[in-house]
Amino acid sequence: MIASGTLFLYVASMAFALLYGGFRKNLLYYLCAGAMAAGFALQTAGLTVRWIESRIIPATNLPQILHATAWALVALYLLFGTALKNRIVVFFLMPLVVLSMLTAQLIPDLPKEPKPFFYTAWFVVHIALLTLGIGLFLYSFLYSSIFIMQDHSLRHRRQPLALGLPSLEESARWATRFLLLGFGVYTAGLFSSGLYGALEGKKDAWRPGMLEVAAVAAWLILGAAIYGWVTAKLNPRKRAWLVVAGAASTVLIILGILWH
Amino acid sequence: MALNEIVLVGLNHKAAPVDVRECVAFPAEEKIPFLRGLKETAGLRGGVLLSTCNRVELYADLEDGDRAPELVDALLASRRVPRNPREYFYTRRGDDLIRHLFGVAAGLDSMILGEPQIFGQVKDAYFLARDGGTLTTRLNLLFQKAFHVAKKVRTETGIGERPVTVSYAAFNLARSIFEDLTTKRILLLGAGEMSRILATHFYESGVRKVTVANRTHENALAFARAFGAEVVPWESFPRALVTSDIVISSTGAPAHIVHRAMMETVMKLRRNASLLLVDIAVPRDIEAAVGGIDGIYLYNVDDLQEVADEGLAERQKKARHAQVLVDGEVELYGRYIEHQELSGLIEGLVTWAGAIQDAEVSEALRKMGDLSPKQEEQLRKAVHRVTHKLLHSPITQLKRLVVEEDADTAIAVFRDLFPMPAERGDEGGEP
Repeated sequence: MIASGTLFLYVASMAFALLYGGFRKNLLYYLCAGAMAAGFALQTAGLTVRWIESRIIPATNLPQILHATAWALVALYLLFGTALKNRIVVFFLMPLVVLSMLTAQLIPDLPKEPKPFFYTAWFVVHIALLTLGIGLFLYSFLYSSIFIMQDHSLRHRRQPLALGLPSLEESARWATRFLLLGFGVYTAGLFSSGLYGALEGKKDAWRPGMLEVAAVAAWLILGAAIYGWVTAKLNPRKRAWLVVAGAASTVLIILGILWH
Repeated sequence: MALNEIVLVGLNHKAAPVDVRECVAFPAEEKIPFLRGLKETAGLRGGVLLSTCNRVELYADLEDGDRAPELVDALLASRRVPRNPREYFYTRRGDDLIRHLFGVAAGLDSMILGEPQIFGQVKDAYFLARDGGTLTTRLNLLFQKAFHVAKKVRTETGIGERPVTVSYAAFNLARSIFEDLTTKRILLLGAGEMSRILATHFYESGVRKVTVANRTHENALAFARAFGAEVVPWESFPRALVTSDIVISSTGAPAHIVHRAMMETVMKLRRNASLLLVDIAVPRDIEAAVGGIDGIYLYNVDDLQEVADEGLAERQKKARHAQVLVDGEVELYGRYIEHQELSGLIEGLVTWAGAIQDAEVSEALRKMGDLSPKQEEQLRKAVHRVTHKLLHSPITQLKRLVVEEDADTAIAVFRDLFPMPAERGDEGGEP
């Protein structure tokens, strides 16, 4: 019920975001932001209830992780939305949120065999950092995609301002910020479970399975993008493509969770 | 209608050639004395004088709307006009005037369709009139509404979003690449007229870091003085490319001066930072292959013209939408003014009838001698009821006619039927 209500509000927000992209009316943006905030409040309430009832942070299987990812994306927008200045980002963000939510609805939410690790604070930290990290990567992905679109328009002498996209410089700046922040948070998230194993003497806490391999693959691709950025060995367009590839590699993590 | 007392006389770029416009144009300091003079000579209650490169228009609130031709005479008499340009002047009244002003403020009547500067110029003219004491209530209402409509047109149609000139197209491209142009450095290769036009556009938008390289050093120095620019020797311009963000090239060189190999080196030294190259020279200064380097955005004069043409086509499309919007606003405003005038007229009639009634009752009381206060009160009430009943039907019919028939005629007939003293003049104007 709560999930359906949240999905409805996010779909409404997406509809307003798409209309805003076309018509650029402030009212449409406010309606989009209002539906987004209402959906976020409902989703937060739902996740909290579920957490209290099961005593495990609701992010132990794929549908739950997807819900959490959608939550993180919206939370980050509500946090950074004003700083981002360019409102057109909702045009790209909301379809991603709805896609995440819809996929979560379509996959059966099968309860997982609870492990002792799930009840520890380490697990909460682990999940929170990974989810936040993935959310930040997705923002970096959005801004890199915007960069590539803008770059493409400029190269092909099209009207780059038709959609009112941010400038290349602005897109690159935000893509980098989200990438660096996401990389740090995500790395901390990856290490937190290993750290738990080491501190608690549980050697099997970090076994290299499909999920772990996928997580590390995404980490390496995004690390390469950062390397290219720092050393300026890659031009901004190639860096943007690498970030897009890195963010796309988070799909591997999702597949890894499915097969985990 | 009172709106007929507001008249527009003027000429613009569509009606008159530039040699006429430049003769009729008004410097700001001469506007208010001229308007004040018209109060004596042409029965002007108040006025707003808009004078730009492309138009001179006088929006006049007259005591008698038929005296509009005198305004043209006065306008011409105050200028040194070599020939009689009366034929270029147009006169607008009523809805045509409102539509014209709304269109002017929204940039729909501008030489560059949808340009935003005219909005500021109309505002300047309005404020000048207000501060000079030549703004009447009616003109104030009209101009306030024009500002509202102009903003609405800009917001709802986005008519000014796309560039329609080569220099604006180049500026817009730069904004698509860079976040804050005021922190960027422009390098001008060549100090010709086109460079000057483009540089002026960037300079007026806050870009202050300008570097010039020109084969003739003296020309570069003259250019540099105008823009506070730094001059580099012509031979050093490849080095200046490394530290610049926007390059505008317009030399008269017979062959390319910027090559792919040169720019590949430059981009390495720039650590691949984005670079906008605008080549407006014919023959071109920059080898086309340079545009294939990642991080470089190369536009030649044809590319910019294409962007400008697309922008113009888009604006023309949006202008049609804007005109529909303006027409709707004209109708709304007309109704609002009618309502305002009607209310004033009815209020005036009731006051006038009340005054006659009071005078007649007082006279009757004086002749009738001693009456008790109660009898006096009854007499007053009876006469008031008679007045009220007599006026009820004409007022109701007037309201109906204004809505269903021709409002102007209905109001004129009503004024003839009830010859009230003239309404109080406008509150604005010269003390």
